[in-house]
Amino acid sequence: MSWLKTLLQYLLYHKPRPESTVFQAGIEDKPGQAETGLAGGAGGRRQPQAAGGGGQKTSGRKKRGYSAREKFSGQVEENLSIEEILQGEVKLAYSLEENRRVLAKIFHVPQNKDVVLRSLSIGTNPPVKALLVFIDGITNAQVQNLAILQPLMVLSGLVDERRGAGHAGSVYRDLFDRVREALLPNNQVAETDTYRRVVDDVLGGNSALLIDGFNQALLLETKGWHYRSVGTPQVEAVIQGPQEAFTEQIRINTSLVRKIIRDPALVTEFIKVGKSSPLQCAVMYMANLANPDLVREVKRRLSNIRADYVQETGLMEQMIEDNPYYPAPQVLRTERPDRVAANIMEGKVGILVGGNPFAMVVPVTFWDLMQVPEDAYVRWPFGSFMRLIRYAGLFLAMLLPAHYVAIVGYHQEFIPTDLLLAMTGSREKVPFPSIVEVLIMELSFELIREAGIRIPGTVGTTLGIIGALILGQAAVAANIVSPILIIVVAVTALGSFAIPNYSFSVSIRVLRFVYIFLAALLGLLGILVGFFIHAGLLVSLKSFGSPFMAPAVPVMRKGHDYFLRGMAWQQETRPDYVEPLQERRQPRISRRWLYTRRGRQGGDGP
Amino acid sequence: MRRVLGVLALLLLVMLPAGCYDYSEPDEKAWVMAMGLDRGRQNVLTVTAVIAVPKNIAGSGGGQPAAGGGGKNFFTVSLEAPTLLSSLELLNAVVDRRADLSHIKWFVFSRELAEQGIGEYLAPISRFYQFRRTSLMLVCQGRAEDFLARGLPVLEDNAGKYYELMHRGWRYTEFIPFDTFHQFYYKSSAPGVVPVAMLASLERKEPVYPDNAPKPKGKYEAGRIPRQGGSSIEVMGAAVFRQERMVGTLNADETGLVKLINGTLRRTLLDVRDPKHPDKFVIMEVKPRQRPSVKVQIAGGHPSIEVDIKMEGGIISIQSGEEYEKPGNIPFLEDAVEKELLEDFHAAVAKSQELGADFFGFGLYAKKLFRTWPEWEAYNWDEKYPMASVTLHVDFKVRRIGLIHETLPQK
Repeated sequence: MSWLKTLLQYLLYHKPRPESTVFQAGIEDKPGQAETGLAGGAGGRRQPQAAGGGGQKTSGRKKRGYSAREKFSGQVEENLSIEEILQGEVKLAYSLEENRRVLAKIFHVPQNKDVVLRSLSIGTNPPVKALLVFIDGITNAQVQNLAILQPLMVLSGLVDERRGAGHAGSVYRDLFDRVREALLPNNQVAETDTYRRVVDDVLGGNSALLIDGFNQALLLETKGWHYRSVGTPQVEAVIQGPQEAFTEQIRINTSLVRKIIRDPALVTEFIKVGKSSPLQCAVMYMANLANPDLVREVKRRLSNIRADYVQETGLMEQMIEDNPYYPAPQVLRTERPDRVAANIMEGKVGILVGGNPFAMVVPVTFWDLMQVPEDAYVRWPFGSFMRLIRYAGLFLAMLLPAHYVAIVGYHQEFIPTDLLLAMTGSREKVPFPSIVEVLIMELSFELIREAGIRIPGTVGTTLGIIGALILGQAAVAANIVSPILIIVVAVTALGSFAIPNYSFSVSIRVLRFVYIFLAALLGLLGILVGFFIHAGLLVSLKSFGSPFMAPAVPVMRKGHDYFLRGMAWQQETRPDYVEPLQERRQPRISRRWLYTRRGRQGGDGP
Repeated sequence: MRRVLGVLALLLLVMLPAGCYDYSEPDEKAWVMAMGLDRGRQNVLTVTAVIAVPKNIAGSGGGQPAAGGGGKNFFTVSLEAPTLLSSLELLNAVVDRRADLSHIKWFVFSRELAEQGIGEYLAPISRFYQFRRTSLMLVCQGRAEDFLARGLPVLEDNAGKYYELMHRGWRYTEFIPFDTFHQFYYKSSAPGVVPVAMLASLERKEPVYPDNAPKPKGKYEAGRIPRQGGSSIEVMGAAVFRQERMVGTLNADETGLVKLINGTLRRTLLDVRDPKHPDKFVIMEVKPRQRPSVKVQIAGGHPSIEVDIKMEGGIISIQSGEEYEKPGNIPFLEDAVEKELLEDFHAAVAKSQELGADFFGFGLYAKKLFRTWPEWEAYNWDEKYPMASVTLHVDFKVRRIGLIHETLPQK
């Protein structure tokens, strides 16, 4: 095997990438700087000196290259010192002026016009200087005016006069305590003594009040940013069922779920994800159902993400999924609160990402990806039928073009004679082999679909469909493809649209080309080999510890809701693979009215 | 990631040697719908291939069907060849596309060749992978090359469909045997039964019978059907083979009885002589009520066979206007049908014993009396069968009397 390894080394030889050293030099300098920074109380003052030192070192060590980091090394140093203030949990100063200077530096005031540092004086006797820090646009100005500025500046004096001067006999410890307890009619007030917390809250839409002489800040709830209201689902529409979808506001999203599950055991935990730009993630689960190991694993993965930009559910999904190389999604993304709620009630865990109208549900199985909430909302025979149609669509989307290529190219004896002669006759003038025809049509369909999404305006989808029709007819008339292929491509496209999960559908669309390739090489044998490997990959896949093909593989206890949809009163157990704390979800007899006599109230049931 | 890519590249390399070997487009092949074998004129055999012309069947390009009558839907090529499959190779000299047998429907042997023996042609084609055992064996009166060249379908565009539908008649008539090549092949190689093949012929131009005396339709066979018009080929009856050589023909009735014993008869119409008016016919629909029971005993060296046939059916028409649908009269009709069937049966059994060919397959029922295969082979059924005594019981019941439940006398 060693020669193979050598061969591979030669084949996969890669020129080593030059390491960038400017930044690393900065990092090496960091410990010493951090110490001095902390000792100085503020990182800002010694900035020029540090920048100069860093710059000299870099240029001394590395002659080659001239990077932006080198050019603006002064700014790099300043950014690093800000980073230290935030990461190092530097405490607030007693002096209001010092605090104002540091905050201005952190927020890049005066260049940054979003941040407002409002000086005010609290109307006590004697007046005390204070500073209100907030970001314009994401705060509610009315709340600030009426619930912060007015009481502090105007009303505080009234109270003072009535009470009389001095603190003797006061219930308040000091002025800071008094401001918090009596002067701020604000529903959520917190206090902190670090710059980091101040910055985080201000970025989150709160206002920070700093008072001269105190090394603490009051964080006031003034969030007032703009968001979309709750709308109808765009991706997962149903005919019969709730028409609410998540929106970009995480608090509204959690409330949408809580509105469905009115149970004190529903727990919403918030986790900050990422380091440089922390993102709020809500982890929702039933404390009396969800397996604590599962919850712990979800929280472990979320809290151990160190990334620059994961502000989107799709990015987050890629950060927490088990196996990035596998073709199938391992996290269920949905925009429907009812779907999240139903899954949470099965003992799964919902992850809501701040600023995103899509929530994630883990663990997920193959069967979940093929289900839609409506299966449960219509009566069971029709729910089951819809699922069967969907599985047929899955197989058509994945395998039909490949079978066409294999049968036409290798196994013509499969085709009924009449059809064979019709196909033969209709492609007499087509100059390409079938495989080329199939690739032309499949690729142009993908092109139409992609263009249809990117085209601006609602006319896009209509245009796409019309384009496909014209392309098909025109291609046949021009003798580029045979007419039967249009049907194959159309059925394939319909099949792929029938797959309810978007990312699963995309993966099937891509795999289709692999199967076409295999079919062109080896006929049905190739499809068989490909399917064998594909199935092998899927059964070895795990999503947050649950086998992807469970409960079919490995064989587990099956409910009446994994392949077909059973009757509503048969849904007695929660899925085995999530190992919920309570297995049974409804008693063996759910319809007790069958067993109570007419004219009497039912038994002790709710 | 690099390792994954490496593995993928290696997998790709593994796939590539397979490299589309055997890939071929359907329009690069010539689809042979039927083959005919005659005694050769310049070589051992004259092999005729019927090759479909797809563009005349489906129309070409644009999805529009071809304007009718633009060209023939098939053409035939007759080649002088030493063997059947060597002609497949020779075909490529005269046909641009590669000839392919995988959609073949008919193998037609001329009667002349069949009487000489067809064993040496059967075994080779059953080994060949393109060959389908669902195709049919035919024996045609006259030369097969003429038969195939002139056998133009009237209703169909596609000769293959025409050939298939001509055989489809086995489902609703008595005179087309069911046996495909598969049945033919195993029956010709197993002791205890002999195969029959479909009997076919080109239309006979000169009259078959000299007068118009009443003759039941069951006495016809291919090549002896008095008719005018229709497509130029006809199938009816069967050719009986013994030791891979054709030894005789069966007419329509006899073919029906063979199918009855084999269990492949679904229904048929029977012209029964009216029991009270001998010059008139009663038309009966007849179908088997149960599978026939055949019991074979071997006593004193020769087999005695007891056949019990249970049939049922309905009245289609009563020519004479006799009130046979009355409950009291129904037994007359039943007796008449039983008598008719018995007569036919006795004649057919006599014929089979005379030919020494057990085309009913009674031997298959006798086989179970022997413990081992060598014992059974040593018994030599084919020699014993002509001496066998055959007892027949036919039971017929009228189930339906048609849409008229009372016959009024005609004024």
